[in-house]
Amino acid sequence: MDKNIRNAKLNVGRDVLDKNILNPKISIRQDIANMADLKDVRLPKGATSLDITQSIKRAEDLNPILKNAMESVRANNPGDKALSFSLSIKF
Amino acid sequence: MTIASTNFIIKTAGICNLNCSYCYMYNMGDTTYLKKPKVMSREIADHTLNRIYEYASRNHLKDVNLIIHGGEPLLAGVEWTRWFIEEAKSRAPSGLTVNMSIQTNGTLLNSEWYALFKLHTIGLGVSFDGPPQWHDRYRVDHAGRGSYDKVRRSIDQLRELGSSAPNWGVLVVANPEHSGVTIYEHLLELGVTTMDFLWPDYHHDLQPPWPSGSLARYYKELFDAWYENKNADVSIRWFEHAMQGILSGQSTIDALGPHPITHVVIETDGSLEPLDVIRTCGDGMTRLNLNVTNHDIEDLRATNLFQECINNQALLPETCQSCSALDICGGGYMPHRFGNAKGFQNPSVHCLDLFDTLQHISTRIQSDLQEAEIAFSLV
Repeated sequence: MDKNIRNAKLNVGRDVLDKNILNPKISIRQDIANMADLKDVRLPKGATSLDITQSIKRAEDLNPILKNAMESVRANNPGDKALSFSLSIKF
Repeated sequence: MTIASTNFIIKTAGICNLNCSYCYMYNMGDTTYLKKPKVMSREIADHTLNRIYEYASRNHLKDVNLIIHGGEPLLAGVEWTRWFIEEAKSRAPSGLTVNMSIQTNGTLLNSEWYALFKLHTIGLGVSFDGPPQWHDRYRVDHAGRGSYDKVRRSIDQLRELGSSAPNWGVLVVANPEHSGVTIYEHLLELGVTTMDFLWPDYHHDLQPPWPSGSLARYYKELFDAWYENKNADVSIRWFEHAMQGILSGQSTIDALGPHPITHVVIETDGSLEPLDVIRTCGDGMTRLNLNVTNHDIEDLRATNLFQECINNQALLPETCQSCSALDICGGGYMPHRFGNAKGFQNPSVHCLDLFDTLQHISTRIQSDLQEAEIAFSLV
């Protein structure tokens, strides 16, 4: 990924966080998920931009075979709430 | 809830130009092939499609998978196969998606076949056991000659066709006397990116000839080689489904997971039978005196053997029911559970190796997720 794009997106997240809106909006979640090449992520309250940066790095480094498997699980369960798959990032 | 049948294995040819030592059709105890036509007649094929589509309509199915199989299905010839594919596609009821694939030994493929499969989006599976010294030990013709060179030529042609090739992949039957890693690396060298390594077909009355643990070692080494390559463009189906099963408790292949087995087989003479690998459990066991000329798919599904297939999870013994891996392995592939004393009320004959392999995969996945501090959850 282009580093500038990534920084720009992170800045969006930082702006929001700096305003103490600690429950990230969908658009920011999606930005982060896109950076990590994942469909979605969940961010806990209190996450800092540094936390996010580190988490994205970890997610990016995840074995792509494992990422594929995780995405397949979710794709195979569309609309099934009980099985809808969500990847959460721990801080 | 009744689980409908959506997979139909159509034996368009009842003979094979190879005589592979481990073939469940010809060399694992069943002899019913001796009384069947070499090639399915157009009349039987016509009845076959009628039965399948009538069943699909009655059950409001949205899609079916027609798997052209044998014997060696290419022995039916290009013209016959073209006719069958076109009939299958053109006669499908409105609203029904028909997915078609073919499983071949790869010795008879040529540009005409590739064009036919590409034109009609027919998935192509090629059986292949790796380097010549191993492939030619088992996959021989009726004169005992190895088939590696012919299959290798087909694989080379498919690779060279690039995007003009039909969707294709390679099936290997696991044999722990050889290195799965070496076979995997050989396939990569040949440009194969879609592959599977099938667990060999044995059961409790036909025991694997290798010490317990051999298959687990084979699969664990293979998994590590594949996983550590980190190339998501290379697919090994069994591992992918094992990982999905570990992450979610669900797999979508018949050989893994707690699924009803609902495959319908139509033989060259029109016989309606359950999953073909079950024939390894006894000579004539899958012969149920039903035929597409006189019977519906529902007649097959009503038989005791087919009901056992559908309800196979209920037959599992207590050791399986209380096992932590049940949701992932489902007791193993149903034919591998057979024994004369208890029928299918056994764990897989590969149980210990399966468990060890799945545990290894699970440990690696969890280790990676923990290292990345990523928690996954079903919400």
